[in-house]
Amino acid sequence: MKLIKIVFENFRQFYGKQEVDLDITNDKNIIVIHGENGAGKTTILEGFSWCLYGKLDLIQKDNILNEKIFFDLEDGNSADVKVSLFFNDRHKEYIVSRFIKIQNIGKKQLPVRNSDEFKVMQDGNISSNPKTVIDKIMSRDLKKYFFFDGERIDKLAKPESAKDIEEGIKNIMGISVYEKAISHLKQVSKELSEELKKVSPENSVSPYEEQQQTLDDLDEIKIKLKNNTKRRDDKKSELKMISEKIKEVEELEKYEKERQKLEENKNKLKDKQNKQLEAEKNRISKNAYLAISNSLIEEMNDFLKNKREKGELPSGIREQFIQDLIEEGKCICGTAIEKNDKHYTHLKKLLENTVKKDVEDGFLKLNGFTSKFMDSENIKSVKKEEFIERLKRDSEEKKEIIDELNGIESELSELDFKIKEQAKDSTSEQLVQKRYVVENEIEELTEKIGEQKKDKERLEKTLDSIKIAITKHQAENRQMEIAEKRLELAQHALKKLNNTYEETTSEVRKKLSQKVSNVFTSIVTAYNATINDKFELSITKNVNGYEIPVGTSTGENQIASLSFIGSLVSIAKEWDEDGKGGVLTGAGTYPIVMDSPFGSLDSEYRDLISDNLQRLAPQIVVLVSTSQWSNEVEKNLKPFIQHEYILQYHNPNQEDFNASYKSITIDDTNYDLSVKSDYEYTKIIKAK
Amino acid sequence: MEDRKQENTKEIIVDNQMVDEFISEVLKLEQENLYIKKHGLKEEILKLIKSRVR
Repeated sequence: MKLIKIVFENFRQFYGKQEVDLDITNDKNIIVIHGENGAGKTTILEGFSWCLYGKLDLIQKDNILNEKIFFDLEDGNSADVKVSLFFNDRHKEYIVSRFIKIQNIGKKQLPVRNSDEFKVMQDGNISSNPKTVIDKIMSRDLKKYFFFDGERIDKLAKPESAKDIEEGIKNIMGISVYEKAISHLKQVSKELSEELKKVSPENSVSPYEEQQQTLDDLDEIKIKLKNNTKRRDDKKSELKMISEKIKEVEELEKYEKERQKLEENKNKLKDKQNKQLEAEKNRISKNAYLAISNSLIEEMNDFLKNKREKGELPSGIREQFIQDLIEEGKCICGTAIEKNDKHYTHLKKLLENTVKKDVEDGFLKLNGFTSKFMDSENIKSVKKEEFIERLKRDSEEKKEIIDELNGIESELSELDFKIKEQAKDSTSEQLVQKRYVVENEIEELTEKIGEQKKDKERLEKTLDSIKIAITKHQAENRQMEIAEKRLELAQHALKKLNNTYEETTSEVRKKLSQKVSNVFTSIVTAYNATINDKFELSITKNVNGYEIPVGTSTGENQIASLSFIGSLVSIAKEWDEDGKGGVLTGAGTYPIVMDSPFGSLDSEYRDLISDNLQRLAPQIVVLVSTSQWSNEVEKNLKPFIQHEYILQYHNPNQEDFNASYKSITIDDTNYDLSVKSDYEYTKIIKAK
Repeated sequence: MEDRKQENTKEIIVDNQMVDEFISEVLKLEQENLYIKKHGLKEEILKLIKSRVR
């Protein structure tokens, strides 16, 4: 989207028809609009929003018609308000206009019913679906990232704005498509599960129902686990900060350094302990049954052999074979077998000595298994004595680690006592107490996480066994098979979509984080800004290899937020150029329109931002007051300004107006920012 | 008749290709729906599954 021109007609302060030329070149990509407070800077920002989406966020919604026009209107009469935006997008020219008739009803502005009109012309043709056209070019969800008030933008760098950062990333990716598809597929899976139940035999318990329930339970536990892990991570960061602060207290520094070292050793030992336990678990689950059962199986083999030798177990003649001879009435040698003759009596006797078919089958199966087991390499490699010896060593290693951990714990307790004593009655006492509270909270959360992990594992195991049950649960008829396969398709698609969704979000977050870091560190060298895995735009400082979150000023937050927006613009443009526009609905070229880009920053940050502004987006429109327009800002922006405008406020109460004597000089011409007038309105003057 | 009989007894296989094709159709539907709000998108997806597996 490249903005060309915006035209206001009786919109708020702008009396009659007035326009701002927004066209830029590659070298000069900045448009500056000067105006004092109340002159209409916010109105211009809102003009974009109203024209494109019919929304007014910051200004009064019920006074959209210019006041001078309104006061001249007789009761019952109406006047027109219109904003038109001209722009190019992907080699097409657009003119978007929004229009409404406002009526004077008892000195109140009221819209004339059905008078509103929204029109989009694309290369000279009227679009039949204007809303769709605009949403495709810049969805309204993205608007807030590209048309904004600079004074409020710093809040993006606060932890509570993680949702806005996450939404920005997802919207620019067009991830809502994935979210909606996942939600619809969940509903579809439930419906298909119901359909399957209907066609399944009534007395059979459907494993699909159980699977659905287990999947729901698993989803729930995953969310809980994620939230508690996030809370614990937050608490750990808080703990780190507290520890750093304690270290800053002179009398505690020595103890705290020692404590940090002990904590580090403790964590290393805990890692070692976990690895050791995991290895032991694997050894037991893989080999224990072999070590314990090989002697039993040997015994059983001997027992079966003995039985077979005594003729108590199958020795070759199967029951079925004798039955067949009797029924046939003929031996395999051709001799006839008559009922009650000597051959018949012999066969009947033999039949008594044979074993039943199921016993015979069972024996053959067992014999096959034990022989295979005894011949296998596994059983040969696992010796009971060696295995028990290994278990003993495991136990000793465990004990050593526990002893070492206990030692560290008691050293820590002693240190904590010293720190507490030292901090008594001083300002750091609160910090020490806070640490105690946070440590307890972490412990509680760790316990919860442990339980939830166990629940998750249990549910995953249940799911595995349900899958086996499903395999067994063969379709009894075609109808049931079809229902099963439909559900299978929906569930597979859901799983795959979920994975892709998570992977893509994480990939884009990492890419954006790198871009944010690059932009931010090119402006502020002392700190770094990244988007962490909780989607927080976090400003950190490297302390001994750790990225520790730091308390930041509004200026630093504003720079981080602008870095994020600039990175969004840059990534959307890259995707557009790579031709990913079809998949990622947010891909595109976006301008940035910002009111008060320098907010209430001190001069140092104002200069830094202005020096880097030109690189933030391919097209930038800034609305500034004289208090923000310093010589340094002017010097930094000047080479990149294509057009410059003045919002000249016409004021009937000139004497009372604070900014009445302000003026600005552009290219040697002096412009008054406020002049006395018979009625109140703002005139847009092109200065460059 | 014979063809139909064969069709009716043919094993239905839900493989990766089928899942991928189905996902791209679902995403296409959802993408269209972003701009032109349709009613009953869930039913559309159900129809899609039923036409693929029958």
